[in-house]
Amino acid sequence: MKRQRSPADTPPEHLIVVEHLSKIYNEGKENEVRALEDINLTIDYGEFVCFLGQSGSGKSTLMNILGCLDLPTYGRFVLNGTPVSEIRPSVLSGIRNREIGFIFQGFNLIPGLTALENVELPLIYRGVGRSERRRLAESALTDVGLGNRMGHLPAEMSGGQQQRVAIARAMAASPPIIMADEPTGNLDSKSGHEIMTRLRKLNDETGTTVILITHDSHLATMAKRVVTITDGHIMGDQIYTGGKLEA
Amino acid sequence: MSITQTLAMAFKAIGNNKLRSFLTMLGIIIGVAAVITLVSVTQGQSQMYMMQMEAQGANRIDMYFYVNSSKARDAILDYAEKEVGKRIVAITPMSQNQVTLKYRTKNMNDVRISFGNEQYGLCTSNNISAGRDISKSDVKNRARVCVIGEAVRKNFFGAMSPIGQTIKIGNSWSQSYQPYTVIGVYNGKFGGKLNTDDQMVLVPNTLQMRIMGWEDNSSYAMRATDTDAAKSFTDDITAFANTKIDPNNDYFQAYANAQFQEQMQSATDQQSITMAIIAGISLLVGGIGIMNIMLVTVTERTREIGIRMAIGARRRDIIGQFLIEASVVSAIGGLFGIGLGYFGAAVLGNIMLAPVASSPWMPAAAADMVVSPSLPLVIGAFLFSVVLGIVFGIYPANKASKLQPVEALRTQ
Repeated sequence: MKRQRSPADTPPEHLIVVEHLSKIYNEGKENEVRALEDINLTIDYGEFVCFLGQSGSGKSTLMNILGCLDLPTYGRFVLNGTPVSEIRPSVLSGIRNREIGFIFQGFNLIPGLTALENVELPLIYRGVGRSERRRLAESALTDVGLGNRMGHLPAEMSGGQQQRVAIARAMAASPPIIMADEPTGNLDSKSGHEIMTRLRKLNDETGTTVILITHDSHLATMAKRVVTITDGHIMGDQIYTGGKLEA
Repeated sequence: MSITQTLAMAFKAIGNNKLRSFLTMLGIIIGVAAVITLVSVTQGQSQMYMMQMEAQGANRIDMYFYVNSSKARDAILDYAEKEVGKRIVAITPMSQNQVTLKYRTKNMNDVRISFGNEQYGLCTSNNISAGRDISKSDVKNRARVCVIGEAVRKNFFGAMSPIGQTIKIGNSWSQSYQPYTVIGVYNGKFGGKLNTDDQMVLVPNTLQMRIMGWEDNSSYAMRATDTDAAKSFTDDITAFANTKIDPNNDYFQAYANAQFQEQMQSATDQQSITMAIIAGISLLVGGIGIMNIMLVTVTERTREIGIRMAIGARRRDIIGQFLIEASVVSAIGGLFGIGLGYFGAAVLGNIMLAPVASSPWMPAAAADMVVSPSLPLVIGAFLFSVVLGIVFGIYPANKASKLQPVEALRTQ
């Protein structure tokens, strides 16, 4: 049967639309925590956005929701045309797999798998065939300069190298969004700078939207747009021009 | 995610933790080995009894009776003889006793003597290996001839031909020995060993009075056309005899080997099931061990599960991963258990069945029998261990799949 062209097939206007979004833990109880309150936000294709905030500001909660790892308590969240806030939690893993590549502070590689196998993993869950998977993973690892480390286990690599594997894993399936949560937090400044340069390059060259979450205002200068979060509210939203950014 | 991918991951996870995986398997290994060993030995035992029955002839019927009225006695014999050519192929008297044989200077005590007719060999599944069997006219003319068993031949004649030789038959109390001509030899079902059924001599039944000094016509052997005929005729003649005999003073019994065989079979089947259930309990314990370790594994790998979920693993991918891991562990345990079971069956089978095999009433072939697990048993045990892994993996796998990715990623 020929698939009907639905409105979802045309690219939506914005990559991310967030309206009146709140996340409240233990609502109505004594220990109620309002992690996010009435967030309104749009992010477009190709942006490099940094969410800047101190720990406890709610930026990680926001990342979890934008990364489809968690659902909002109230409000609407549309990702690449999919109304995530309205769908069943069981479908979220598929959306994460298709739309988002994650880079975590703690690298989050699977210890028992080699660099290549780690990079292949999201492709396995996507159902990509063996040879195609191998090709994509190898090319992603080569892109991050680890073409000669494919058979190494995470424990056999430095922190910077592990984070580069994580970048390769995030971009291997070419998702529209890369979400990086304190990606330099566990790295020395040289490796950290290298990782940031890579993310920036990825954004510049492929147009992949990068969402960076950090408490480090210096790191934020690498982004093209900085959204400041304090106590669950958006306190500032500034767009920088290209020239100002090279720190 | 494809099943081969999941399998590859499972093997990897098991290989990353070899000692623990082995310890987890141990319960299954011991359980499967126990099931296979016990069931095999039981089946080996039954096989051995079957061999014994086979040696006596599967279609054989034995009949014993003491009937005071000769009219009733004749009626029962007549009933049996009329059946010859129908369900019954042949019938022979087979009174038995112990005698002493002499050949030149050699003596042989405790030789079983059978007084039969020309159908004796057929009825008792004995075949002539040299010379000839006794004939109808031998019986009629009370010819002083005998057919000897293989043990007697070996003992008296060795490499020499026994045919035409004269041996003396007598009993220890009368001390009168009479000469008989050897006309044939029965091939040994028991390898010609001493003190087995091969230590025998057959003489025409018409000479019983002459040798023993009395006549006993209470025992007969028959050969039926097949096992069904054997069973049905045994039932029929028993029913008929019960209408003729005096239940207070007379005695009648007929039984078919086939019936024995059936009883033996059902008894060993039950024994096998009992053994399997007892050993199955140890398998159950093994399964619980798997569940225990899988729960520990899930807890230990919470972060890994979180990572997998973050990059796109669905619930069913996680469930599949842990279920397959559990069943691969138990399947490998099952394979080791089968190996150990083969070994256990051979060793325990030898210890338990060797004395039985070497007993005088066991055919020679029994000694060569090696107890070995049957194919259905091996396949069944393997499948059971796989199913066990799946069953006991369900709870841990489900638990893993229900983890929240955010919380799972937060654990260290």
